Amino acid sequence: MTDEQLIQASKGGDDDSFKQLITRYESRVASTVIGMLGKCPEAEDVGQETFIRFYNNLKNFRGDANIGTYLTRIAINLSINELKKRQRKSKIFFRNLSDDDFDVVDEKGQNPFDDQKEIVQRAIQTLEPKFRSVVVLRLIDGYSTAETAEILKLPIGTVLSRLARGQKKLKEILSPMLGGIK
Amino acid sequence: MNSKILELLYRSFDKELNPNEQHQLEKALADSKELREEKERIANMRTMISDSGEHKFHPFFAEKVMRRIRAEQTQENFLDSLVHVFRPVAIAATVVLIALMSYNVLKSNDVSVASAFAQPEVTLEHALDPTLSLALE
Repeated sequence: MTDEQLIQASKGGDDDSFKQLITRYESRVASTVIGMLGKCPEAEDVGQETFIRFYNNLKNFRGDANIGTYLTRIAINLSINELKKRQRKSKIFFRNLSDDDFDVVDEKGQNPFDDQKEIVQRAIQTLEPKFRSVVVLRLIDGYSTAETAEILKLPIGTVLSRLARGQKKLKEILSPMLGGIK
Repeated sequence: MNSKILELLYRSFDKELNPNEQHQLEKALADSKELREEKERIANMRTMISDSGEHKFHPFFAEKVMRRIRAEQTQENFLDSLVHVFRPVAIAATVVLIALMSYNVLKSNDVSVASAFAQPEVTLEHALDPTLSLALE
């Protein structure tokens, strides 16, 4: 069944069709949400909430936007809200992650993280949300610069400059893993 | 490293440069080993970032979402049925209240909130009546 057929069936109250849509787009939403929030229980909650919002707005979904883009927009907005909530909490209770949390080599000269993937994910978490969102959409989700601008409702020039700043910051953190001269 | 060239280098990964910029960047790359290494590092980093994507939530994600949707619907249905049951009662109660208030106003020949609720009018003099105080003592 095509997306359009599944949407029509879901609008008619067929829950199995909506479940198929969830299965189809779970990975897309997961990469956006986990990219923004990291691997944490809140990420799954935000992922669920993304599909619930979509379900509740099915009647208003006219199909002029691609479902994946539409879901990504919901996911990114909910993730940014979650980050704001987290920032408010961390101001009260915790310190924010800093570059010191990403020293790739510890005192024993060993890599404290087994996984390169985990180091990159943690490095992305140090970026401010406005830089993180462009990095996630463009580099992890693979949207074009124009699509990223459309999802975030930003001018392309802003997306490009945020991408450059985000990458510079990531390069500083990840430079020991990139090889060559710093 | 020239910051303008570095800016062009970053931009070249995400947007097609105009011919002039493209020429500038190519010339700089040809002239500088450091810039070529930088380009390679940026490309490596971008690959590492795109490979870091996590594409799965925990198992039974779709089932969990559907369960939450059904729970919300059940709650909504419960609230709807409450509204359905209590709406006629609320309308009837309002009609009775208006009838009683009208009756009180007509009976007392005084159009005021106090008379509508059949409350005795209490003036300041009445409240401060010394005989009343004596009676209380």
